[in-house]
Amino acid sequence: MYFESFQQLVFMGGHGVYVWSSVYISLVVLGGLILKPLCQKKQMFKNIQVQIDLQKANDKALNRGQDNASHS
Amino acid sequence: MKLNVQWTWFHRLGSPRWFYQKTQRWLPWLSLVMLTLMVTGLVWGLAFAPPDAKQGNSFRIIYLHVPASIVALAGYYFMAIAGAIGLIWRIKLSYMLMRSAAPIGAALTFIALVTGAIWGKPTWGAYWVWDARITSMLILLFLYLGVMALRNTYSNNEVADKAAAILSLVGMVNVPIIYKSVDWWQTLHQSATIKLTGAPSMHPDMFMPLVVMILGFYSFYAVSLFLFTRAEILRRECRTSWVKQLVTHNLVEK
Repeated sequence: MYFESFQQLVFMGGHGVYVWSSVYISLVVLGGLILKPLCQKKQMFKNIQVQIDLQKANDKALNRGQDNASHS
Repeated sequence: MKLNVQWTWFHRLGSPRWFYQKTQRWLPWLSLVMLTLMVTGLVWGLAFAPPDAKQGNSFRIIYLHVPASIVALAGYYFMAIAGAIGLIWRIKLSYMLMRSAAPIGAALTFIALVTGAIWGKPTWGAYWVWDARITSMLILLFLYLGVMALRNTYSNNEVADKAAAILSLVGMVNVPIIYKSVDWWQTLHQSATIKLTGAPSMHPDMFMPLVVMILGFYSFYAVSLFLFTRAEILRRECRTSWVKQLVTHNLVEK
């Protein structure tokens, strides 16, 4: 390692604030670019599942309606 | 018949379903490569590389600033070319990639601008100067945001895709201007550290971690692009039977 101690690595001869804030901001933004699409995917799976369930319920109701009609 | 055989790969390449299934297999490996490169490059650059003779330790910001800028610029070309392919061959997947590239490019440009501003304070004594490189980079951010906004303005997918593709193609003019801005105008911004022709103006001890970080950012771009595009595929193909099957299977597995 270039620095002699952990404190020096953090302080970086007075430039630590600049370097570490850059690192922090960059990592937060990069993390967001991974998490955002993963959340979108999860949401889409939920939405599509709701859609499928609705469709099933709808089909069932339709079938029942047809059955009733044929019985009467 | 012969034509059919020859063009099947092309159609498969344009199929969202094919892309979704392939990336599912690629993503774990690609993520591993990305993490390895980024962690190695960052630790190497921040803790092991020697400090700059003039700028001291503040120069270490280069390990985020330069890779983010390079990939933000390359990403613009990618977005514009994907838009062009969509316009010419009407490949749906191409438009999905274009749309996914916009937020990633915007975020990377944002990183480049912010880390640049932070770097500017100890080096130039100011967070922001209206010089050619920085201003053209700010325009790049607005172009990315413009493509995102335009894409969301229309409710009709087809019209929105075309409009966004045309805007990104027109905005491509800005990219060479950014590259050349440090040579064309007198600016505070230092000239390019890495050139395609000639040796880099940097000691190998500093340069090697930078190369690792650039490769890391490129692999990050691929991972993020795949993830955004997969979400976009689900959104646009939510009524197709293969997506419905996928969702049902997913539920069963859980």
